[in-house]
Amino acid sequence: MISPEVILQVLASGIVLGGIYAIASLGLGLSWGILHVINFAHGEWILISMYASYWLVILLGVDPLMLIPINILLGALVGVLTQRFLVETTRKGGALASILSTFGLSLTIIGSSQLLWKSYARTMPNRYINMVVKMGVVRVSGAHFVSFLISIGVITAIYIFFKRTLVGKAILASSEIFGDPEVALLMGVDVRRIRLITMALAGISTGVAGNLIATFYYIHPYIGTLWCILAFVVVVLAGLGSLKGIIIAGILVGILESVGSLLIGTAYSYILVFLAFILTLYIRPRGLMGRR
Amino acid sequence: MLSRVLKSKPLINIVKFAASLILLSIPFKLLKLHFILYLMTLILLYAYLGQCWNILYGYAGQLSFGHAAFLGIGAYVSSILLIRFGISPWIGMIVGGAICALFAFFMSFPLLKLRGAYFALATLGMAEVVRLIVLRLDFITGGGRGLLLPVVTSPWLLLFGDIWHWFLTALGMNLALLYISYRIEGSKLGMAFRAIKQDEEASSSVGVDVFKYKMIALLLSASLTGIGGTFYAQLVGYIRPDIILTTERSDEIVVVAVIGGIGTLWGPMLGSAILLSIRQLIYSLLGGTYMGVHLIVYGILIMIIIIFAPEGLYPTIKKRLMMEFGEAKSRGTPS
Repeated sequence: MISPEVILQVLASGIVLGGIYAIASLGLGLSWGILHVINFAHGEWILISMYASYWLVILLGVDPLMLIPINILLGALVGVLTQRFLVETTRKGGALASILSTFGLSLTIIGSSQLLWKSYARTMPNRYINMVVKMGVVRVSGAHFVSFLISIGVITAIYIFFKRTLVGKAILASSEIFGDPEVALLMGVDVRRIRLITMALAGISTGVAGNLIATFYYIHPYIGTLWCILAFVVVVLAGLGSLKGIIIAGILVGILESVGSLLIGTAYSYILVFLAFILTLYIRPRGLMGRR
Repeated sequence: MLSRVLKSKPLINIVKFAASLILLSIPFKLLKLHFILYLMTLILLYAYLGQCWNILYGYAGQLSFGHAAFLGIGAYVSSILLIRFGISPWIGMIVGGAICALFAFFMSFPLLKLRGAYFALATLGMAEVVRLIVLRLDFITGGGRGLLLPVVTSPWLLLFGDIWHWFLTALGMNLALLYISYRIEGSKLGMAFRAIKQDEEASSSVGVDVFKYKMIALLLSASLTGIGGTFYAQLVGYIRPDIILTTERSDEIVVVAVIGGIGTLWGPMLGSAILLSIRQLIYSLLGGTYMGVHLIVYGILIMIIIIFAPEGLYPTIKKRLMMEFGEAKSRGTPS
């Protein structure tokens, strides 16, 4: 059963899936790594974009990829609202307060989507889901492949944003891992506004992720939890404050999941992922490429 | 009068609490208001689970989002023992608690190395792994279909016909747990827990064996939650992974304790009374037509509490009452 072709196939689908995991985790990595805000509503941020894309595709009949600009705006809005009204008001309580308050937000979003759209598992009709991309001996789902390309593009754009723009540099300077918030404040950086922009950025990448995931994964009020856990796995494996680490960890999780699907079946493939996660925390609590 | 109640000994309060609850339940029993007795039983069950969680987070500062794992293990162990081997759940309860402790012991080596958010995440992952493993082991756990407990009435098998007996059992479990918590609060163990909660490094530098005490908190919390899991399974009559091992169960346990007051003796009881009353009210008013309303209410409650009263309702209300009626001097140990 396990021939070289099978191994290549497992690797290829793992890598493609890993790119998607990377963008699904990027928002969490940004808010956690830069702001020390542990966003337990991350999965529900993804859920909002998934439902938004689903309904726009159903109602307007457009191509899902045309919706990326809308999801960027929506994601930024969600990020700004969460930061302004929830995270900023509970800042005094530290990381645990941010966990509990965003946990409350996640319950509210799950409940609202259950109330509005019932607990059906929905799939978005689109032309990418039945496409197959052939590359030599391996085949990859078209929806996965397109999502992979776009997520690599978005991650590169965010990388360039941090390296080249003044705002990006200001964000890094006012974070605790790369700089020092107090020094940044003394240098005239409006730290409060920077936090808002960082959260908006986290929202944007999460919004794009939701849009992409909706093209191939089913949409259900509780599915955010799964993506939230996966994103946490990726961010923790990567280590805080490493964009490269997120890509590597995403691909690692993708490969683990496709190996798991091969060995113990699709529904249980996450067992392997979580076991690897707990093991990594045991061996390297700071993640693969973490700073400090 | 009120200030006397506020200042009296916790142990006396526990006895008073039990007596008044039993007195309160008798009219409902005589009037055959089974719905209210059932609600009171559920409140006591969730207060119990919230207090188990509270030992780990409220006292020792380790935030767990995976208590459904222990709840599920306890429920499955006793139910399997009952269905396959005919062993009474009274014994299965103890076995389930012991297996939970054993599981927690093995998990503690990776878990207890982690702090704060990392610990919380790992427990979330742990509960998910337990759910998937239970689904996978369908030849013994029944997989997604779950297990149906025998429909008989037998006190020896922890299956009562009268809801009042369920209520009394739940009350007994709560009294035992409240007594344990009270003893922990006043002992060296409680002091070590509080020290660890405030600052792990500082407490380790003054000679507190941090790993040992965190282990004790985890094992205690896990095994007591497992015992609660047996009660849950017996009360509901059937168990399925999507009922007992979901994140929703873990979440409810967290919400109960956080709303009531973390690290207090009476917080989970208050939180459970509020939360379960709201939940059952929503269920009975809206039925199955408006799914999700209870989650919206939980979420908004938690956000309000974290923003306006981060300590939880019980300490906030107590402080208010103290300022109104008594001298504000009992600032010492939480109780």
